[in-house]
Amino acid sequence: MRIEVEINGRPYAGEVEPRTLLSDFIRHEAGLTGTHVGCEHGVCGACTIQLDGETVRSCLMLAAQANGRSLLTVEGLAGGGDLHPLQEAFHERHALQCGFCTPGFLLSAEALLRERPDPSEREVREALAGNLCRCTGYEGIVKAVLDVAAARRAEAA
Amino acid sequence: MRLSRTIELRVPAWAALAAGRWGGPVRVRAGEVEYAGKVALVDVDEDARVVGAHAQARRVGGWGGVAARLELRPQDERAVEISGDVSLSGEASEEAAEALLGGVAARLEDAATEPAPDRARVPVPRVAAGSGGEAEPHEPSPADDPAYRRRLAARAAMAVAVGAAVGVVGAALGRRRS
Amino acid sequence: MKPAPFDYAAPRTLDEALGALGQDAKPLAGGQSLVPLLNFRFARPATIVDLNGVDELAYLRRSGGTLWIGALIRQATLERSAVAAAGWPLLTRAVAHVAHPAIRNRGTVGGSVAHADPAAELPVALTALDARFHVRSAARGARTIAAGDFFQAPLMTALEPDELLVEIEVPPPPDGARAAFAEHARTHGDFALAGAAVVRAGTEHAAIALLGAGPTPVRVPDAERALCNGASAAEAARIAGAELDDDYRRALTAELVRRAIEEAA
Repeated sequence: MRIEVEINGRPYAGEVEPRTLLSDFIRHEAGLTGTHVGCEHGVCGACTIQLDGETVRSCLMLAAQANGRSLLTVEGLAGGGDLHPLQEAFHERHALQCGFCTPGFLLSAEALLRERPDPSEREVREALAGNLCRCTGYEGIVKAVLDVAAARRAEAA
Repeated sequence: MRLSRTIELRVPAWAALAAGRWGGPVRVRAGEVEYAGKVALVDVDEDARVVGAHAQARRVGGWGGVAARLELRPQDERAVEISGDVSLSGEASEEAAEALLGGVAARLEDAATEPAPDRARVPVPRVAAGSGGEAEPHEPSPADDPAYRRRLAARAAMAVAVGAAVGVVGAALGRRRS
Repeated sequence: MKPAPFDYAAPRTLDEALGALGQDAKPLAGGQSLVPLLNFRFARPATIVDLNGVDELAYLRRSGGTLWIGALIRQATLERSAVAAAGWPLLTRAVAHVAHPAIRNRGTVGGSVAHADPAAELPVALTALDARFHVRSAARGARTIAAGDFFQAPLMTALEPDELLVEIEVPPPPDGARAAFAEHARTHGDFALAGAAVVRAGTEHAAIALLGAGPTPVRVPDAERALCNGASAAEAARIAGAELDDDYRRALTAELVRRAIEEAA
């Protein structure tokens, strides 16, 4: 069946089977390979994207369910060529090594900071507990997210 | 920041609010900047006559956005007061917060004027397993039999156990030699 | 692995959905439990009936003091609900322990109940709240099942293959009731090893439901009676865990019950 999905503000259409996962549609039909597939059962978070601004596991949605909906993937974070502040902070704080978990972390953190612009460290750790990283030990990731929250506080002040 | 505004609907306010068909995607502008997200009905308190909602929108192509927990209360027959706490993040401005409320109001106004969709009973179309071709019969497979799956699982468990035992014995022999 | 092929139906009304269900046609709600089973081919239904378009099944409503939960309401929506937090804070606390935000954004309350994972939080909380489950089928119409009768075994409920859980009714809490939920998982959001949901109102009412103490959520009437008769939190907790064979689980469960009772005091 044919579906039409808006991803990062652009329309994408394609033929899918009912069993086609959204993660596979994003990667293979839309060609956006920044969204990664780690476990296909929802625990690792590498496939995390945003649907209408809320995080979801793309490996646990059928592509058919995204028909007519609006998605954000990691490719849509940076506007106009500049890195998103979270991406800058991840770079500064060595919050990535292999980078496999990073897109999922970025989208989870982006959603967190919009709901809770000034989270405590504990709130950051709990909100990101659904994203697993095998390389970094998480310290840099948590610091990067807190840096971005602090930057907002500084600007607003 | 706390915001509120009151709007007039063209239909009785409480019925329209509680029916909840007004939630959905929100796209608004604050000056030159676009924000995109959604508003969703959270709960309906019929006893207290208030509806709770959650709205959020992301600054498109930028940093941050707005998010709000809203309460919607009918003021009289057709007026609704929308109020709540709006958080701003990243580069989002106060204009964005007002714009989000405007987006919520617009959804309410639109839903209140459109007639309810006709939910005629038609047989539910079914999409076949293949992509759009003839409906394929479900091919029977040995994996459909739960007993077969249990036997496979038991065999797999035994293979793992045997492998582990061989590994342990091998390590023990290896240690004794060295 | 990827799912085996299946047909896909997307009804827009409850009647359409009920008409589509059957022995080999499984309903899909949030998908956070079913899609992993499909991905691993532990489930191979011939048809998937996607309920996400049936708007009439998703609501959260307080009416006449009772909380009415439409089965398709997202767990994240319950988490945000001021109505639930005011009248049934046990649900607000329990749902915060369900997996992670991305899972809760899609997962539904009805789906968690119908899936009946023995480590799930919502079945335990709803058992402590004496919830009633309203169920419908095309062939036999509506019936109501009490929480105690609904959960039968791990991943098994009283639902027939052609039945849908449509609504969960949670009665008004007793006057002055306080509630607490405690669970232990190795990391935040992991499947819980043990947990306790407690509702108490002085010596008038006590409900203690255990997570991980059996194949389904269990109430512990002996411990509840003890609390109402003035037993200390520690003593009631000891009674609550007494039936468990495993030393570790018994100690862990008793400790969680004790904490929950004290928090709900």
